[in-house]
Amino acid sequence: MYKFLRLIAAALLCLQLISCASEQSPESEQPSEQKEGVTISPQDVCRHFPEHVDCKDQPASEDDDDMKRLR
Amino acid sequence: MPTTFNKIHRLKNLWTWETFIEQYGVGPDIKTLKTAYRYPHHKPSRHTVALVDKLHDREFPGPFPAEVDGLMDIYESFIRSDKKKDYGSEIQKLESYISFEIERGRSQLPLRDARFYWLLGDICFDRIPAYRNVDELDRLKARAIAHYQQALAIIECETELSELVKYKARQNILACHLNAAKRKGSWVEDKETLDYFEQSDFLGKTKEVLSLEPFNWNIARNGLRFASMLHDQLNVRYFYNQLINVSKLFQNLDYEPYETPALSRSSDFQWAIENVLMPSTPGN
Repeated sequence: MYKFLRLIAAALLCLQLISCASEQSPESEQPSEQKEGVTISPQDVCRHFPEHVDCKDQPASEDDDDMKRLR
Repeated sequence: MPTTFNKIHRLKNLWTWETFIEQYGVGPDIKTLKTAYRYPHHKPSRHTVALVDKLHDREFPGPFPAEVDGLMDIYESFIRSDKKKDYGSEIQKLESYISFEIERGRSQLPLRDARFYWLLGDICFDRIPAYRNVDELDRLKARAIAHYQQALAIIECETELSELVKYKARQNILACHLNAAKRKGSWVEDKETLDYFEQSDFLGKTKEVLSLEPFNWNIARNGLRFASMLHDQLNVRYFYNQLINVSKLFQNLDYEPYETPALSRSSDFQWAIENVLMPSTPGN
């Protein structure tokens, strides 16, 4: 019985450690925001302002290297 | 990302690494910070971004009212939101509210108005990539530029503001011209783009900003972009060397800094690569 309880306690400790580790921010996460040098794709614009653009019939051309705006 | 990279560099100018990590309780270790400091391609974690933002805001508070910068944050969150959501109507309401606030409070708080105009400029700027109709494109570009010009007119009266803030507003105007010209297929031959480029002394001001912030590779890259498009050999060398000084990784023309294409993958740099950086004839 004592061994069994120790086993349960160890398992709970492992679970807690894994949970803590996952809360640490891995470097692969997306940054929450970007305040300088913002690039918005044509797809984003079409999504937000469909009434302003002719996205349906003629998708806008996309340039990967537009100048970014600064804030 | 240029932002976190630049912010860490600004903060590092104040502190040693040890002092840096003493500024917070829980956060990235020295090794992680050094990686974010050294490598322009490094993608910082959300936690690192939030922490660096907080420290940077504390040590380098912006000149504009925090409340208006907060509205900018809200707008950025809309525009970068989950792809399944459409915040078009919210953005239009935000636009109406800002216009109302500008009318209501004109001249009482100049920097508040300047930042409101800046945000209206950003909203129009972000719509430019989707337009193909030339009339609509010109109308939108004119609106974006008018908003940025109004912001700049106010900012230029504020003598205590840093040159960097004015540079950013001018750069946004130039970017409106260039990005719209690209949509029309005229690129840098576009007269309005060239006129503003010369009027704003873009390369000269870019060099001034780089002398203050030599780590700012995004600004150096834009200098190189225009030097290349204008076939300006001397300035191509100048701005390319600035990039190399930020990181030797830029010696590889296929190198991709964070959220930015490699020089070799952008047609704006084609002339510089073919004629200055990698000329085919030996001895050049």
